[in-house]
Amino acid sequence: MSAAVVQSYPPVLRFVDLERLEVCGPGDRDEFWADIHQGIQQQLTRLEAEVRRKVDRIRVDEGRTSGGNFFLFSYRTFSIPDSDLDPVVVGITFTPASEGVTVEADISGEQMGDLVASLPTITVADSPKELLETASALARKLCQSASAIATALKDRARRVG
Amino acid sequence: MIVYVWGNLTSDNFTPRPGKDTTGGPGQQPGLSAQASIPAGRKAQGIDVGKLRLPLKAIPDDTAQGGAHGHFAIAPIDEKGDVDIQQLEAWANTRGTGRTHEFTQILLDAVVEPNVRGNAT
Repeated sequence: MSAAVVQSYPPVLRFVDLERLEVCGPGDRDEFWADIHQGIQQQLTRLEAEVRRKVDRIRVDEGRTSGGNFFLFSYRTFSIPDSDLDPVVVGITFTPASEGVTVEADISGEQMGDLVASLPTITVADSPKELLETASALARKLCQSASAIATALKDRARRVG
Repeated sequence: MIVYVWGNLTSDNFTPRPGKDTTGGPGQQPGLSAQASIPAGRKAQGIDVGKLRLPLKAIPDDTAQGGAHGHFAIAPIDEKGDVDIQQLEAWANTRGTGRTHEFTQILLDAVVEPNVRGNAT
């Protein structure tokens, strides 16, 4: 029996019609952050597949939050069902800065906050195109951390009470 | 005053755990745990307790009764100022559902120091 060859391509964010977002109101901004979230999650699908190859029967959930002092936290949570190990969260946070938007990307424990991997914090102009490109680039970099996530998910020292 | 919820900005981390957080202990009220400090190198979320909207309140442990110094329980309170267990349990039951409960959103809106690290305070 011959091995199947699967050709796959990373998802690509759409950079068309971005001009309309430069002059948008609050409602449109909500839509914009929803688009950013979708773009990040598309990229993280590859990371999920990689982690699933390394760790059996994991649970993966995607989500997003926002608050008074951050525009968006887009995340994917990896956990072992019926386990007391702290879930591992892969996430990108967008917070307002004095000039632009600060973007932080890391992988860390959901409740413990132990850092599994962390990328340098970046501040970019509050421009849809730059934010989309930055989000996409950071999500792609996070996708290189499948082994670190798998190791953290098996680490008995990461148990939570 | 700023208190810290250790860990991430996920909905679940800002929602009490059923059973574990819905029962108190000696000198400790039931509720979502927050701390006055962050362990070195760990990530946490700084919440301005002055920005919490009712019915949520941050209640410090009573150390004379066995509570931990610097620990707070964030919980809904009733008109008498006591923890409203029914509302707390209803809130906790949304954990893991993918839903963001209105109390979770109140907490997220009160985050004034997102992604702060231990030793930075």
